[in-house]
Amino acid sequence: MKFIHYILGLFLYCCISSLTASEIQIAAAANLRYVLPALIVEFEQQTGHHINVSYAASGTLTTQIQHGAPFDVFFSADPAYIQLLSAEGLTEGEVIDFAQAQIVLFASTQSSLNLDADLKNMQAALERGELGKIAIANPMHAPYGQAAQKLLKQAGIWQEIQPQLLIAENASQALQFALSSQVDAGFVPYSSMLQPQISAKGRYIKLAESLAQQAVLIRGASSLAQQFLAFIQTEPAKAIFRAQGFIVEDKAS
Amino acid sequence: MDWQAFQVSIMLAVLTCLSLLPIGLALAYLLVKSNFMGRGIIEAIITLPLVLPPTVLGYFLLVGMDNDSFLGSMFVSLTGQSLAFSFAGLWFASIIYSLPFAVQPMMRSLEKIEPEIREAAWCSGLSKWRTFFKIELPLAWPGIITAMVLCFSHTLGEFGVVLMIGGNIAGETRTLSIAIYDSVLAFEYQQAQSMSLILLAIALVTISVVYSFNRTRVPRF
Repeated sequence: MKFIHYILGLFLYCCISSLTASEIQIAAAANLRYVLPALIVEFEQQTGHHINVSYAASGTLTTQIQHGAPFDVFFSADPAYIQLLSAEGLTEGEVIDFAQAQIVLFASTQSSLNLDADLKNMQAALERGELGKIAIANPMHAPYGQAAQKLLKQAGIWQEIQPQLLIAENASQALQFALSSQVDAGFVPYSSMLQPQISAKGRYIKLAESLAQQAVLIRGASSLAQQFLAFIQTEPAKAIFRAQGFIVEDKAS
Repeated sequence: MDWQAFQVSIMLAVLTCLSLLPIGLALAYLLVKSNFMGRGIIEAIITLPLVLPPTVLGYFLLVGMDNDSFLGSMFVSLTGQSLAFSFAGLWFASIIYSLPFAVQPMMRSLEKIEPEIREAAWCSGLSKWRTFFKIELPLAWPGIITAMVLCFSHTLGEFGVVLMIGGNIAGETRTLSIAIYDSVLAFEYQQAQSMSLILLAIALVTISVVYSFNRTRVPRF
């Protein structure tokens, strides 16, 4: 009987805690993993409200929102996904351009590949048949994968490099792959390079491609969510974005 | 260590076990006792989650629990919340996903009971229900315990299905196995390690329980 009481108690606790929660559910692109926590701590200190974040590839999150996932705010690394949701009437209010994210080519210390922004060395290694695996996020649903695809197409080696590509679920996993000793290089977010424990494990070069980062309220979002969106456009929040390697426009808001 | 995820996982496993106890017993009993035409098919359908890739099950559940679908819209009209990406949705998915782990051991232990024992109970004047509760259930006890322990650990270790229909929401659908995946992607290896060790310990304990339980019971038959 004691056991039954315990179970019932747990169950009630869960019901009640889900009812009384005044919190925001954020769906965020995987590349925001290093910047959002600092922003959230700041916002939680200011307002006392709690924020939960789920990180995944922007395309994955879009699918989840389309199927009714209970998110209040969506931070996408690609405007196309927000447009898709808006077209289906799933968003609310205006879309906010909060930053530009940068993409880098990263090689771990074990890799012998010479990095250059035009990917010429990568092409040469590929032609010599010496190129190992290259990690990219999945271009089907991850913006960093799409950016990498664009860069590889510009370099004219998209078709040729196919057998060498290691397709990761999202930008975080692409970095995970790139850190492995079996991988020559990976297309990863610049923001992750500012983490000492990662930058110590290799070298990187910035690439000539940036990803517009947008945020939007999901239909039915609380006013608290609106407050958070307003917060990320304030000066202190912009400073946090800049410190984490994002480009933020200086126009007065 | 993500205690919130731990709580979600334990809660999910306990509720799944409690739901599968009556559901599993009823299905196992029906399948063992009756001999109708489509029995093979029903048994196959129940066993299907055992061999189906979790992504296939996850896909069907995702589509099936959509707010436009029959199940999804019914749940919305009953509770006002959507089923997909909620704890209730995970619960429902876990019941289906762990169904074979409940039904199979229960069936095996019910099959072992000699028909003479049941007939003797009937001759002694016990009704069908009383026979079930007083005679068959106690005899099938090892199978039921095995079923519950397997369901518990299987639900705790569920990953693919949760990844597809859960949405990684803290306190709601972020289970321990998802939290481990998340920690690895975030390079928080320390976190991932402590959570993995917990799951490893639970798995080891449950499997040992099943084995030792079955071994001590064998000589009785």
